[in-house]
Amino acid sequence: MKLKDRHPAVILFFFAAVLVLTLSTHHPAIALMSLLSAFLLRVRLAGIRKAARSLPYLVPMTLLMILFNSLFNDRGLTVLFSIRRLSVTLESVLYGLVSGLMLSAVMLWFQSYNNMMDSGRFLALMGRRLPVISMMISMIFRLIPESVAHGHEIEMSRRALLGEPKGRFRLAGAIRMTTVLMAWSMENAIETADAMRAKAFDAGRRRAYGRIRRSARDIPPMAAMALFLALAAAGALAGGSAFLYYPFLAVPTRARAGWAMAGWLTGSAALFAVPFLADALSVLSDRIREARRQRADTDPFVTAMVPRIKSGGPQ
Amino acid sequence: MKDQQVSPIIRADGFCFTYPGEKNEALKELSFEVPAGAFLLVAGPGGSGKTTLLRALKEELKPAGIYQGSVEVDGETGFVMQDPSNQIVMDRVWHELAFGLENLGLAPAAIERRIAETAHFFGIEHWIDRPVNELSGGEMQILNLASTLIMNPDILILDEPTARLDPVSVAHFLDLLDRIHRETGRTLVMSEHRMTDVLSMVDRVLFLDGGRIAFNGKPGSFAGYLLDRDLPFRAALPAATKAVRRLEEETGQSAAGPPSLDVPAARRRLRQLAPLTNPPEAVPEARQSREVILEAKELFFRYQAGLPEVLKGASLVIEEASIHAVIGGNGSGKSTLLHLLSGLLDPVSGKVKKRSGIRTGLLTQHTQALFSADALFEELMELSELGGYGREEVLGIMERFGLEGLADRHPYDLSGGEIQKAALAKLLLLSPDLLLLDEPVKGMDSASKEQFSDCLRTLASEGKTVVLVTHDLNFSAETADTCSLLFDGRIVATEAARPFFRGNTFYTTDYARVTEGIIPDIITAADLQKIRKAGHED
Repeated sequence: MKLKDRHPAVILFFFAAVLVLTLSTHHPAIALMSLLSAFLLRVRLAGIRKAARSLPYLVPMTLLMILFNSLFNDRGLTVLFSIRRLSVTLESVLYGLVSGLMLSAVMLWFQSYNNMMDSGRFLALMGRRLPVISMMISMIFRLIPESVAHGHEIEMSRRALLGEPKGRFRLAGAIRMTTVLMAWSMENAIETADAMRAKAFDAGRRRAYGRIRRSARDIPPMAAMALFLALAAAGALAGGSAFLYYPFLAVPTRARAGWAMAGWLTGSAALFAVPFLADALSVLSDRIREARRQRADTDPFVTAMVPRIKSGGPQ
Repeated sequence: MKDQQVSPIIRADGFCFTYPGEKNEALKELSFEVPAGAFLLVAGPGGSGKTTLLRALKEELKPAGIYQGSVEVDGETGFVMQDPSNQIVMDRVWHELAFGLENLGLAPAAIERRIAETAHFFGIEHWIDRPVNELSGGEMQILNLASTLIMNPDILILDEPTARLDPVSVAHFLDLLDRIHRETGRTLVMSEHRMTDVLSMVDRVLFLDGGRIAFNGKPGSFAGYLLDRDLPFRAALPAATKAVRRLEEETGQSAAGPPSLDVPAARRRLRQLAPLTNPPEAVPEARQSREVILEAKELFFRYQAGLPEVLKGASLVIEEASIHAVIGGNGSGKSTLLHLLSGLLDPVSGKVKKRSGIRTGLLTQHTQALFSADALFEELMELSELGGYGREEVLGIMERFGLEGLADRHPYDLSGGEIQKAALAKLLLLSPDLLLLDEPVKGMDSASKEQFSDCLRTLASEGKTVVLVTHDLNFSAETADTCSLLFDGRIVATEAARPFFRGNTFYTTDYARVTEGIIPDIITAADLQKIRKAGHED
């Protein structure tokens, strides 16, 4: 089962955990892992072309981070070159690079979040707790496209009557458009209010209904994610995530000692990979089911009555 | 099961209502009863008090004002209004269905079950997840019906629910109402200004005129009542009913039973009557062809690269000083074609050739988008500077369109017919030579349509050219010189109006359908007037 089809709480948990992991340390390994998995997820959800379209602003942003950090931060021992009294060090360049990668990763994660959590899913999560706000949001999502369409209509009918607006009529046209749109929307709102009253909105017994149900099948992925997060957190707390940029790049010995670093990295990697693991598991379980079905001894009385089915099931 | 005995579920006794600040009563001395399980039609011309009466039956929508007498409603009521879009509150279909039940505080499991049931009954399971903005007007109105019925009201009140829909959606909507009535035995109270299809469906009619009950009884006797009187509302009767009555009058054969309300009954009666008449004289077809004012050649259009083409090689020739109707179904590209002719949109390929120097004016479908002032007179004066006209011209055109009494009225408070006339007046003040009208008679009652048709005929005789796109075949037949059929992005037929409608079997006027194969060459009501009793010479 794909992550996208899960309960919104599962999706929200995944993205929250991923953001916490990405931002809680400033480790090059995490930044790289996060960026790579964020990009792959984006490719998986939106296709390579759309994913690639973020590069033109992610790359310059990263370069800018490097530039700023290396210019304004002269800590570090490995001097690459000096401009007057300003020395640019390898350490500060790398620090800027990691910051840029982290920021890029976060932006890519947010794009995927928007793709997975449309307004309906978010509302489903909020609906019970904030019924008034969730209802308002729903009404707003209804009104925005309608108002845009009405605005377009007004503009069209105006241009139909008068042709392309010119000179001072352009401003007058814009003002008039706003007036008409307001009057029109208000007129419509009166009817909408009537319709709400006709459907017992004033009864004062309102209880929000969400269409998305909690289900037992959401527990395993939730548990798995919690486990990965716990592992990563324990490793990090034991010092596994320590990394020194200054005075020179170094992984402290205490980090390398014992299970701390291994636990932290494994937990993080597993968590970042959750969407792909979910995909892989769903493919795998389909295969297994298929294999089982072919092997299964179906009751001969059932098979006798069923027309010969090709692989792929009934229909 | 509902109580099957015929106890009234609505009972009005000397019921009067006056709006605050008005001297005259909007509803006068209404006394009537509606038995449980009845389908009541509240008929009447615009402004006769239909909406006021229906709203008075719904506790939450009762208008403010002075009430006298009594009206008792014994049960829960649901209310469906005219405008499909404005009644929708939430952003998704499933959420709109849930809205009323949420308000009643039902448990989620109960709501889920009701949604499932209702979606199934209405056959809308497949669009339950869709955003409401993507629905067509007809689909929106079905959603409004479903989201009202889901609350399980005893009485369903509908205030002109089909007025803003196209003919195909109207038929579907009425079928659903009929099913609700037959299968659930609910009481339905509906106001309508069109009688075709409706009259044969309902079992009682309450006819309001000037706020009074002018008639209360069975639909058959109601048709008889209207036929015997020269009321403007008579125009609303089904073509089938009117055609039969016309022949009965001409041949002097009085009807044995109640008037025919539907096409099969009317055709049976017409078969008896037709041999007693002389077929009407053939109408001279020859109409000299006029100069071409606009020509569209092979228009192709799509709204965005990647989207399907809306027009696929549409060609059209418009002659000067004529009325040209382009008819076609939903999504056939009618509005798009009109926008291309106006120059608002440019074709992907193909060409629109206009005679140089002519001024074009276009009225889009939502004429509301045109109005910004608080009073009609100011509204019409709005473009005086730009259009180079003054008070005199405005007063003149208001008088011409019969709008002179409405100078101070807010444009939104005009009736459907008045709004269209006001919009047309505003357009004409800019003195265009070529008028392009998008669905100009949508939502108009029969009497207003007749008036509007006369308006357009006069304009054409004065040398204006009119192109209108519409669903309304009867209106096209009565108004247009030339008709074109737009189908699948192409103009598949263009002919003079009479041969055009004579050549179609299904896609033709109500009169042509009723008389097809019985009396030749009947397209409009005017044709019926030409029929003479056999043996009688003019």
